[in-house]
Amino acid sequence: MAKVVMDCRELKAIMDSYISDELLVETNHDVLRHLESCPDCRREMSDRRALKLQIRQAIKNVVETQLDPIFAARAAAELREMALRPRFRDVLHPRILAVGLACLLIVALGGLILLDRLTQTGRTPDLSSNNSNFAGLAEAIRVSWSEMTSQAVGDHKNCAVEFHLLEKPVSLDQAAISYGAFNKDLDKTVTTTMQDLFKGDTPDSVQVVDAHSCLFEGRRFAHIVLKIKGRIVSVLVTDTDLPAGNDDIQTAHFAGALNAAGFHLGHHAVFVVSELPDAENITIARSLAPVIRLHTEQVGA
Amino acid sequence: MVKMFGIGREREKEWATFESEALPLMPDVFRVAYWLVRNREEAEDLTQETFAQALKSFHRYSPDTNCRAWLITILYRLNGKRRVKLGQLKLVEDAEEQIAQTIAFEPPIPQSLTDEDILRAIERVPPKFSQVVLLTDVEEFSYKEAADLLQVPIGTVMSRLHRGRRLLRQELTSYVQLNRTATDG
Repeated sequence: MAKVVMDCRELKAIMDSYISDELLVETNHDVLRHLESCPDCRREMSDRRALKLQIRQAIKNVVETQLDPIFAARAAAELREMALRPRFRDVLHPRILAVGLACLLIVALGGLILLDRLTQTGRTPDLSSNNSNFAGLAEAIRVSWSEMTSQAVGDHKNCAVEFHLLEKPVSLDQAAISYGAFNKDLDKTVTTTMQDLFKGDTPDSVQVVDAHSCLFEGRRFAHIVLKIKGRIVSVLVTDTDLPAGNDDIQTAHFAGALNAAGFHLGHHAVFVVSELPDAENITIARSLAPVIRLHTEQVGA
Repeated sequence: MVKMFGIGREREKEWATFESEALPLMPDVFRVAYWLVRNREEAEDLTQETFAQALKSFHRYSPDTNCRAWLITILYRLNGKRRVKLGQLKLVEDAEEQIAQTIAFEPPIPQSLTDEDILRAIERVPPKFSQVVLLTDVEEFSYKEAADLLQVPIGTVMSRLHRGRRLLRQELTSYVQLNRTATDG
């Protein structure tokens, strides 16, 4: 197929783009092919190149467009002063931000320690007061306690009844080394107390099924599984940072006729979970409270 | 506090980079500014404002990119704001387009031109067209760079450039003819 040759009119339309080197390589070839055989266009091209060069020189050389050296020096000095002056964005510098954040953390941590001290010395604000801040705190504690109770009941179901734990339990001796001294001989303390409590009943009314430390939904419990009057009863002790409220035993009821009675002891929470009626759970919990308190004090937990 | 965290040293380093990369381009920026506003004092104000803005945003500038194009971009944006403030944005652009389109013939390139002839001719070409000619033919920006600077499509740059060059040739021709007539007379 014969190649269509570019004519003069077409070339003139794109001549400036050719001079500015803005055409495709193929189009450049067409332009060159035409120029080879057209002296008029060669002359026109040469004139346009010369004009472009002359315009550039004229514009760059004209006095009006020359930068005044005095202005340039003054502008540079002002810019330098501006560059070295402290700026607002310095405050957002990562190093200053990091120090600021660290200070905030220290203040927040200090606040938490102060709150902890207040609760330990019995100067905890009255959570039942009408003060909205304390009401919020009381609500947060209530929710946390309720979650912890659910976890204790969950542990009872999945460990003592159905054996569905994801992580294998460890012995209380081992837990005493890894997770807190209160685990040490906790099973003996609990069993002795229970045998004393039910000594009027048949000799085998209290049986120890298992004693270990297990993990349920991220919370670790010292778990003593007993069989009392033929029913599985779990005594579960776990660490807690919740501020101590009153010493009352709190009860809760769950699906599957499960009842829980729990109380707070320093840095621990103790739960009795079973199918026994509330009254019996409370009796068990009440008898355990002083002995577990003594136990934790003795082992220094 | 700024000194304590070593930020002062960082700022001095940033200034040193700005001083070596951006400041030497001040004559170029001023020249473009002059052709934008066609007034020395205004061009100096615009240049200073451009460098102040560039300094503030210098942490966003990537050292390996085209500093000249970056500065001219800032200049064009500031000039756009300035024109809005002065209420100059309502240019009769359609009329200018019509003027450009009425030049049906390709004017010949006059010979033996002086710098003065060229400057007076450029001054008579509407800014919309002369700006594109100045950016591409004088400041040697590519069509793409000129399109980015003017915030118009590349096709618009090409058509304005074509018309601008034609208008400039026409102005040069008539200017030279006028001068010759005056001299002969």
